Amino acid sequence: MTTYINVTTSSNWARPPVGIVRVEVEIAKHLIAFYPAEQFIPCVWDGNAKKFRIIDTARYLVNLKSLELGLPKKEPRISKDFIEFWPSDTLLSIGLDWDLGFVDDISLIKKTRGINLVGCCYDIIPVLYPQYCVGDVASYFAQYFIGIAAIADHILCISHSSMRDLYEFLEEAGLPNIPPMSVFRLGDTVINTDTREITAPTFKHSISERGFILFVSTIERRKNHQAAYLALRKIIIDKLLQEEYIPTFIFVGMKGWGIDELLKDIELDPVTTGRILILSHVTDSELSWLYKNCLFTIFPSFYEGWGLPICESLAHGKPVICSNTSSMPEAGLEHARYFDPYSPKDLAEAIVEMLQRDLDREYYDIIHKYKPARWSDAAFCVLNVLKDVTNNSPKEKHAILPIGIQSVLKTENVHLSERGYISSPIFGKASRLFFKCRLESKLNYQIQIEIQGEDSKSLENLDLRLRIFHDMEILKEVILNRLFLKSNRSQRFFIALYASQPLMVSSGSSGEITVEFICQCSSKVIFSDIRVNILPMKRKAINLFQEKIVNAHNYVLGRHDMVNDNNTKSSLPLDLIDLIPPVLREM
Amino acid sequence: MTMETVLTLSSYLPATRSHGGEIRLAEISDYLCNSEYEVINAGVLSYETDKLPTTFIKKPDFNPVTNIVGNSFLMEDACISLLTSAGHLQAAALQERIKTTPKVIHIEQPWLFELGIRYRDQFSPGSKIVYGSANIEHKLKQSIVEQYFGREHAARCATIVKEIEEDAIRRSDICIAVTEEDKHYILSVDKTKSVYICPNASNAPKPNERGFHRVHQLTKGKKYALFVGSGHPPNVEGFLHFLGGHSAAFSGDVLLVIAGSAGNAIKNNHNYNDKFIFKHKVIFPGFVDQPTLDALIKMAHQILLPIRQGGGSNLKTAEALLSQRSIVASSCAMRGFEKFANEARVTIADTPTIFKRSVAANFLETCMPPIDYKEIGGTECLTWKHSLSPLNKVLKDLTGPSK
Repeated sequence: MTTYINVTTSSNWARPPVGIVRVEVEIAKHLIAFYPAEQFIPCVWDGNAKKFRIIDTARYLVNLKSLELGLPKKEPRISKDFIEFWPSDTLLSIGLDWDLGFVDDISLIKKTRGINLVGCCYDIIPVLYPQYCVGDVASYFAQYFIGIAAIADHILCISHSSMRDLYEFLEEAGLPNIPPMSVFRLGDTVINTDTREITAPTFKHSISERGFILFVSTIERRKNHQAAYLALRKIIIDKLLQEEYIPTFIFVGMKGWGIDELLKDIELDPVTTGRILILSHVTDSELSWLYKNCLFTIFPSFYEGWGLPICESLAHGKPVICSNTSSMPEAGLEHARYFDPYSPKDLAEAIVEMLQRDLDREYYDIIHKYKPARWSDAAFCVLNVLKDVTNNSPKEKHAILPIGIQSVLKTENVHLSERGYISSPIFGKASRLFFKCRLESKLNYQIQIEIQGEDSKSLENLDLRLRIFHDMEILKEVILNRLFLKSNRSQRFFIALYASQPLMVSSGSSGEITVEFICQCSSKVIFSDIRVNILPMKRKAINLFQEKIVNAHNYVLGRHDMVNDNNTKSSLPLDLIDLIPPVLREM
Repeated sequence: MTMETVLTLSSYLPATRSHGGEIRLAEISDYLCNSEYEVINAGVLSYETDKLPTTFIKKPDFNPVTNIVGNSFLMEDACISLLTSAGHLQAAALQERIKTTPKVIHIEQPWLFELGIRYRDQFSPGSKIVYGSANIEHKLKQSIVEQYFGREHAARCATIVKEIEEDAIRRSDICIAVTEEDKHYILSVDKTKSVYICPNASNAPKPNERGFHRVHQLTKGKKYALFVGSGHPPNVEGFLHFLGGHSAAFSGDVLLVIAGSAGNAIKNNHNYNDKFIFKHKVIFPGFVDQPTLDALIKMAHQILLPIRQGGGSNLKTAEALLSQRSIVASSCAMRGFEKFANEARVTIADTPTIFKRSVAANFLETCMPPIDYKEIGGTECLTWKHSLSPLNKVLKDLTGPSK
């Protein structure tokens, strides 16, 4: 039982980790380092092969440290072989997964290998607020979340607000089985830099004597810098504060899209000239200095999945005025002062009110009451979810493979675990179906094949065989007995095939085998549905099984291989019933 | 014995069989032919065509009545009625195209009723008039027009159509309806009227090998849901209402096949282009031949009937039920087929969320054997042969006991 952590996002990252990359890094780092007994293995997605490879843990961790220290990364060590998942394995994937475009492929891995999958939802902002995003990300974001939720065993969310959004979205989209979800609280990032090193930041001369209010965020429309600008304008125009008491506003963050006009307004507006400072490239130590020396912070974002800057501010012991929407009250709890982000007036009043408070007292309260969240706690929370998912997964796992015959024939590389399912029409006089499955040695397996077709007239001389290969050598040619159930009325036919002997692979040939199912016929046959079941059998059941086979033989011989659908149910001996798959029993 | 003649009048060509109305009239004609009547299909087309049969009048110029309807778009069929009333369409033009005197004039839908009456009065005084109602037209017209032109214009159009429709009910000798509900409406207009119900129906699909092969080429053996429809606006509107936007219905390794001219209309709809997130999983085979359509139906994992507007009954519902595949349908689509609504693999979904969820849930099911409707009397009642059987009585009543 292994848990693979998809670290594709962080292993491709070349800068100090931020946002989602930091979450992936911190969770992976803590799980690997603190829980060695749990067998956490980092892996990366190979987009060309559409499979996962293992990435060397030590090199991955060293590279993470290098990124944090601003040192160059070493070439990651990635396995040449692809990961062969087992049904009890779990895949944890919490990075920028929507960019990997792998949902359909993971879906196939999940179905064929029966693994557990734990995904993550940070927010569904592109779906809810496409106006704040570049291009048509709403569409592929929606596809991603519907796709991942359809196959995930659990989805981690970073706030109750995000979880609610995702749940409502999936429900409205009509997803039939919404997976269990839970919230894990992100750790707070406190920058531990010795600020004494910074004696005179280059921007210090631009700050008013009254101090400054800090706003840390990428500068983009959703973050609502407009409200901060208009609030400052209102404070000045309406004289809510005396001139000498008006602090400088410092916006720290990279410039995003859709803010050119706002930046122009800020630059040209004579009312606010010189009162707003925009810093796009600050070092960690400068940011640390800014947090340490600001009066308080503001965060007027319209919508967030969590609200990391709110927690950062509190973790640095600074009060924060933030929006009262989405997840922000969850992040700020009782420590933040809230306002309506659609009302710059509301923000202006909150700022004035905060400036009139005893700020030293505020700092004291926050330092003593706010407990910064640790990443180790976040990792522990994720660990518990992973344990729950593993423990709750069914003991006997059935991997299902509902894929087309064409792809089976083309790839010859379709994996089944103990049980496989193939559904597709077959055309042609001779068709071969290849599939691979992994069997455990010294275990007995019962083979069942069910076939449905459209025209029973074409069934003359139908030859059905099964051959089992291991390492390109024929291991066994399995004789299949058949029970025909033909519908007189519709010309549809149903065939149940079963092997006379249980299939047992010797210890030398355990592991992956290839099964070739050959259908040959004198005329074209159209099968509408073929299912192959390879089911593990308990030892005690083998004698009983062989007894039933004898009965089945007698029964089939006595009935000339064919039974019409009117007398099937009544004349079929009861002890043979369970040889026939449920779908045919009902016919 | 000379065969008695039935003249059918319509604003479309039954031989084309490209939408429900044409299929219904074609089946009525076939049924009557099989009952040893001579059937002449004639009428006035409400659209342009290159292949105009000799018995049909080409699409007239609607300009003389445009001031009455405001805009002839979506009111083309009603314009034919208005043109006749205003004297711009003459019964003589019809007479020139018909060689024999019919015993019965079957007017399918009310649009050519005025022309049919004038033709009867001027050239065939002994003929009996059957009004074949396929819908409560004024309600359907109102809902369609409203989407394009707003309430006010839709209400004006509905008033015009209602007048035409009620006139047809009152002046016909016998009416044929497609549902009990429609029959009640007809009787509410004229309680003395003889009304027979001939529900919409279908024929059991008969796919051939070529059809199966074509379907396999299209779908590569993947599971697919099938929506078959004409470009009739309610088909497009219903599809986008129930399945548009964010939808989990087609996540996973599945496809949606939209067959018929509905495909083109949907493909060109901005709501589809802007909001439907699984466009890459949709196949538009367009208008397909009957064996391919039958194979599409037979091989479908499920059949979708997302209809929201219109009275009458949907012959695509009969077709879907006859295929014995799983069905997700709105209540509106099941009108006339209510007795099938409680069957295990017929899911009624009247909200987009439930519709999408039902489709997604069906895809999670493995391939199932055909549904057996034995307990509710089988599928015989869904066939045209069964549904049109009252026509014998209708014609007997009108033409006397000779048949």
